[in-house]
Amino acid sequence: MAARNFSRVQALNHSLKLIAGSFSVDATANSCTKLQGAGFTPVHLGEGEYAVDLDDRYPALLAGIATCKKSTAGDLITQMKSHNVSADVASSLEVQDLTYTAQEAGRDGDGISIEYVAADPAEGILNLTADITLTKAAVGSANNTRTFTLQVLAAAANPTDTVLVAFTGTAAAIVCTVTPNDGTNNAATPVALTTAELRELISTGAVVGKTITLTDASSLRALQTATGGGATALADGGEGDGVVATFADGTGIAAGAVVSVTSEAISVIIEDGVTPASAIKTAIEASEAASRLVSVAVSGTAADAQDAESETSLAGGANCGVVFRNLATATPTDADCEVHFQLFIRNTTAT
Amino acid sequence: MANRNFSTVQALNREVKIIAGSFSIAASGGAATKLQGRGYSVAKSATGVYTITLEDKYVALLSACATVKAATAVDLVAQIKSHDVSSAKTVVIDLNAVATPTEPSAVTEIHFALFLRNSSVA
Repeated sequence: MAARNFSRVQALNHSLKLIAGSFSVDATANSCTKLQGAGFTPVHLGEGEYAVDLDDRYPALLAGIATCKKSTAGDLITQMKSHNVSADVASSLEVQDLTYTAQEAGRDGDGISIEYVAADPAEGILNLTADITLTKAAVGSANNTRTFTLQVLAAAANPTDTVLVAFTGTAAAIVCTVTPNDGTNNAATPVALTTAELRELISTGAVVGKTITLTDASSLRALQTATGGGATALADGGEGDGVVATFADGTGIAAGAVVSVTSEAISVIIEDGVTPASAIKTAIEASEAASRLVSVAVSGTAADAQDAESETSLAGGANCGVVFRNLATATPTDADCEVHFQLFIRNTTAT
Repeated sequence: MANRNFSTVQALNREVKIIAGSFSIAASGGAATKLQGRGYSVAKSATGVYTITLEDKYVALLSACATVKAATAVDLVAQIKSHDVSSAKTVVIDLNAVATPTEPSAVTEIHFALFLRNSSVA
């Protein structure tokens, strides 16, 4: 090594520290390898972007200089993208009225994602010649396993042209009883109800062109809507009689939020357009797994209803250090090369 | 701040002084504003041309280097245009786009380091 007199280098700034080093870029492996220097670690962030993560924190970066070394001539320049030598920066994401911040500062927080999934109402099927699908009016898993039983009685001497329909039982086990008209009081003209008309009755409470006498003391009919049905008439001991629909596949909580976490993916089931931001915040904070990943703050209005939101990652996380980029025609580009840099750092609060 | 052992930086040249700093360039009008560093001031002297004026005279400039910092990738390169540290006390930097001094369309920083010899002994 050199054996001669060297002189001290001085600077006007107090406590000026120099972190000088170099790293190689492997464009095929998308990796960086430290070549020279101490106090830093190079990291390949993405196409043409390289972080120099510092081992220590400093009050300020006076200047960061970088040059690209390439064995063959080419359009490649090194530019600085960002720097922050005083602290790691936490990733964050604003989703409607809430802002999520990674609990642990640094770029790793960018791997955390949030999604709001619309809760589904439970559905059940009445197996008929043409099935009727029943859909609960309210979302939520609470309706799963609940039942809707259709009973068709023998046609009876109902008043005039009426068909009798009664909703009885409980919200957990609804019974819909249909009594067709045998025509005794209707000029010998029987009146039946088709499965399509039953669908119409369940959804609207009436059937166009028919007279329905509806009994529904517990307001059970409106707990679901119906689709489907056909031209086959309901019949005692036949079409529809004794058929039971069991509700399933309901998710979430009406006006509430249900949180689940898979690795770094936070999923919140909400009632789309109903669940307020405050309920989501409460659910996130009550989830140990979610709270370990993020903190949540109201950045808008806590009472505002939130909508479903596709999975989005937190962003902006950064490790303490400097990010350089290699540009070819103003575009970040990976190429096999070396990046040589010098960071002039002030290690005192005195400017 | 960092609390570890740093070693003295040395050079073969005697009396080597470092002036390191950074300044921002406004997106509109191209005005320069000093951000970090001591012993200099900076001003826009023409479109895309920035003059660093040192507070003191030095015998010689050993080396000057500069790097552009831009939040979004952009075709801008900082180039040393001229220097006179012994009399006018200036170092002039061009901010070039396709070889033409250019004002940036977004706030841009120039980071520079000057290695100055403050001795008549070469």
